[in-house]
Amino acid sequence: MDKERTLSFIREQMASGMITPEDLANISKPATVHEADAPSRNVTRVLYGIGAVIAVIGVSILLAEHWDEIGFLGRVVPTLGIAVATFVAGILFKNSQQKPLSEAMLGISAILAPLGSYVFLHEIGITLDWAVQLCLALVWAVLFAGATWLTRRSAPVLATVGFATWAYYAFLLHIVDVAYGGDDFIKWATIVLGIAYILIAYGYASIAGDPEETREKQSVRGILYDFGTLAILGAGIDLGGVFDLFYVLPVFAGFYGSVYLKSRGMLILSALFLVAYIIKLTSKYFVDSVGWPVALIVIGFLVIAVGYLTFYLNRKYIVRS
Amino acid sequence: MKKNISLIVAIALPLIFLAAVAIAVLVPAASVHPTYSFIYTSDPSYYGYYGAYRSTYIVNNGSIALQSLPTQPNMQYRDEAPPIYLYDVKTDTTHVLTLDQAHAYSVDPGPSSPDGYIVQYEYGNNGIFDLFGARSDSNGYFIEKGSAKKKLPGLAESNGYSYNGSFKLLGWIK
Repeated sequence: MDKERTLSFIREQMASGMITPEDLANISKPATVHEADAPSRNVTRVLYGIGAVIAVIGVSILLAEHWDEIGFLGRVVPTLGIAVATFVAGILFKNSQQKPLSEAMLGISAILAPLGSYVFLHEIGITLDWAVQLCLALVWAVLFAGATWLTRRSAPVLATVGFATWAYYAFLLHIVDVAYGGDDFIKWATIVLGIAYILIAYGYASIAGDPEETREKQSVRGILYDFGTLAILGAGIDLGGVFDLFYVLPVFAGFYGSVYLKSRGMLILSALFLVAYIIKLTSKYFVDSVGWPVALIVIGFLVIAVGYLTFYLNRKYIVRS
Repeated sequence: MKKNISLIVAIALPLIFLAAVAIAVLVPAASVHPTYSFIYTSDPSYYGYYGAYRSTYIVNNGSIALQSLPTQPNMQYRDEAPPIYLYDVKTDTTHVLTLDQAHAYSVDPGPSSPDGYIVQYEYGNNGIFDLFGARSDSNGYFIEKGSAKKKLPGLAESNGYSYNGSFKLLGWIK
């Protein structure tokens, strides 16, 4: 294909909308510095991650060993102080060269924020009741949502979702506790939360705008898909009663979703919960009629079938994509 | 656009659920307005460690009175009778009464109050698989009428009545 024919082909594809000017701009860029130094960037990232974990462990040990001796400032500064300082640092280091550092800082902040807030409130004599928890969780959720928007990084998305989940349960448990002692609301609330996680993961691409972050985005989406599936299927299998009949629907929706969303975690969790469902139904409804030995044989072959289905779906639809 | 919609739904769905639960749970609870306070006693069914009481309470012609229990050989006795309390449903507070004070009240032994309420122990939520969202402080005594119920904060864990079986309603004050 000579140059003229190639250019003509590209023009046709652009006219049809298949190729956009942005696509052309992307492929016309020289091999970027990012690609060239990817291994060293990964090492840096790993070191930042290890450093963050060590810092958090250090704070925990400091508090555990010297709680009585360090006084108000000694307790608040290494917890809430570091949480706030690393949060601010995470925002300040938001330019592209320092983004992994920004992510590490925000990660430390997200881990220390609940501990730091608790220590601070404890020190000033405020009990962590439902209203305080709700306010606290909402404040941190809003702050990390702002950090997500400012830094365009993936780590604060998980922190935002985590704090919003805390606020959700704080409010829900208060409502249920005030007027009703039953636990069905909590199970349904967890199913709703699981659906929300999956929808957030699906729509997440539209909120984080940094094209360099494809792998990170996929990781965050994967985590949200996994937790969403766990919440829906974990709470669903515990509902019991008439819902035992319909539980197979969300399980197979999980299989379908895993293929549609290319999520291996969702596939594995769906398979595990299908196995749990088979065992639950067999032990509940069939053991008395066919006896445990026959039930175990049937369960064994059904588990093998689920295993093959999982392997087949993974190989045909998920690995290839 | 499709992805934006999914984000909007993701945020709206839990909020709608919380609003629905709040309406479903808090509206019936708001309709719980008991008018009759009640007198109760803490009468644990096991006596082993602390010893037993020599008497129990009965309601005789609308008055609370003591009734001796048969003496048992080798039984350790801790006191004459368990303490008596008045639960004020208006202020959700509980007060210790002497037997004479309790005797002065005219009571309906129930178990339902004249306006149809009962007091009953409810086991709270155990979360998912007893882990996620599990909490024991939602166990406790509730005042109920039909499907509407409200927790009695005066019978809280700190007062020692949260475990099932220790609470014994003697009567609703007429």
